[in-house]
Amino acid sequence: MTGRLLILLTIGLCACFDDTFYEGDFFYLVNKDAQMPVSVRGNISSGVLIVFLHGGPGGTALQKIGLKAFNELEKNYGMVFWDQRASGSSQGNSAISDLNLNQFTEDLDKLIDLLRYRYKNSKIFLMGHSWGGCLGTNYLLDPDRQVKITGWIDVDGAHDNPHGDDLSMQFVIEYANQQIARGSEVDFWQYVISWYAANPNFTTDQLEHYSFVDKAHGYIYDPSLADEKFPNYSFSYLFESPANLTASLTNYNSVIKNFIISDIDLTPRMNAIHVPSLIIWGAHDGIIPFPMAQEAFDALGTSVDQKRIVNLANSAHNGFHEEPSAFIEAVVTFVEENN
Amino acid sequence: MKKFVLTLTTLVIWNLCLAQSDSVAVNYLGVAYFSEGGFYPGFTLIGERSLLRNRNFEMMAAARLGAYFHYRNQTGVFLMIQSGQRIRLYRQLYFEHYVGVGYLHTFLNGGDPYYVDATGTIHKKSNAGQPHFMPSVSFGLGFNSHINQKPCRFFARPIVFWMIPFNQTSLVQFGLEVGGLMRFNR
Repeated sequence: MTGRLLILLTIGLCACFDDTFYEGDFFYLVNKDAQMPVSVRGNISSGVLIVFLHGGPGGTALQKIGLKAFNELEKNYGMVFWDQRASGSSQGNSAISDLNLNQFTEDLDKLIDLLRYRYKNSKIFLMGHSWGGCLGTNYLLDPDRQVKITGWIDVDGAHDNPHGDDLSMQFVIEYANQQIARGSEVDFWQYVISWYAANPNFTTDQLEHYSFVDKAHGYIYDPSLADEKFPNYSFSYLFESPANLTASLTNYNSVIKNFIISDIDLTPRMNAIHVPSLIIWGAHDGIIPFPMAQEAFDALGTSVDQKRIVNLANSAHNGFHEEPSAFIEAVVTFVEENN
Repeated sequence: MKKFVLTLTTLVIWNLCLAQSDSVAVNYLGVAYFSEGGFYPGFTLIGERSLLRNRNFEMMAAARLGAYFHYRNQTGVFLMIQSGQRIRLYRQLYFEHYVGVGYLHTFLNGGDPYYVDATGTIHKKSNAGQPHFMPSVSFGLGFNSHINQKPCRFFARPIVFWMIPFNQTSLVQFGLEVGGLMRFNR
């Protein structure tokens, strides 16, 4: 009887598991005391690799595995999920002094070289989301690195943080005034306005700003429109994946505190970028508001016929989650045009 | 964090020194399922020594050699010493808690590590692993029983342990240990 119960329990436990996170190739990039996991999934034989550069800094790419948009893209292309230095489930003992834009960019270059070595003759597209937009843009500023990349996909990416933060503050204050006018949580929104009055030049380590943006629907425009949870801390992610949730949280808290990106403005140098570019932006983005999309478009040196903006009308900062169909269509069209 | 580690280490040493003043010692050996994060499997080999005890209370010293395997993340191999107490709750049921210090060595799991040098040349790197200091705290329930008239114990203990250093800070890890011990002397 006990034996049967144990067998049933084992079968039950096995039934809970799936191998979503264990598909594809997996290896580590090691550089300057950082051990960074790389998961390459999907249609690798297509000869196209899309390297997803996660946000933050200090966020995670592994946690995006399994999102509908990326699952669909994996049917056509290889998708590369890389947790950056001291971010997500990266291990090692990366020095605090190495948490800077140049070091992250060097890491990315080594990743690209490694991908070119492992997947010879593949065309590599960079897809940078949020902070990943800043990282990807900085990478492309170097012409020797730019030649390794077939196309640039900027998803609500940061390239001018002083201006972006100003617009983000205006977004929240405007929302706060609307709520006060409606009589909704008046005390809280008045506090928000007073916080910005006291911190007009806030920096990226002041997490209050992010919580205000979140409450003003600046990350997810309308959660009821999406058909999947985000972020999705599924059973599979927590208990059967390469990810380590406590490591992700620990890394995030460390990086966000020690790597201030508030003063980074790449705009004056972006005319050095000439690769075909797709700029996908949520119309209601509250952390890097939509006007930054046009600014990125104008700043890029890419010829007008090789760059475009796609406006996701019902999205805020995470269009790949909020409007996956439109997102997929825009990416596939762009990649096919440049493949 | 430093204060916490210092307190923990002092507590372990103090308990071990205090307990060794009593000569009535009973030894146990055992094995347990040890999981990092709840489901990533591993095991521990356990030696425990009961140093002070009466009907309702027992003071323990323990050593554990263990490993866990988190696929595509890390393999951990550790050795820790612990001091602990068992307090009788009801008949043969005990509340147990342990504090420990140890050494943890972690290896990358599930993929090859690569290094790219300044010229862009790719090298496969050896997976020599990383050393960590490993303080721990565990608590749980234990049950005294007999197998073939030989005294034994079964237990289930959630454990919190730290990996120090981890990206210039300390990483808190959660685990679960479920196993049994058998008395082998007296």
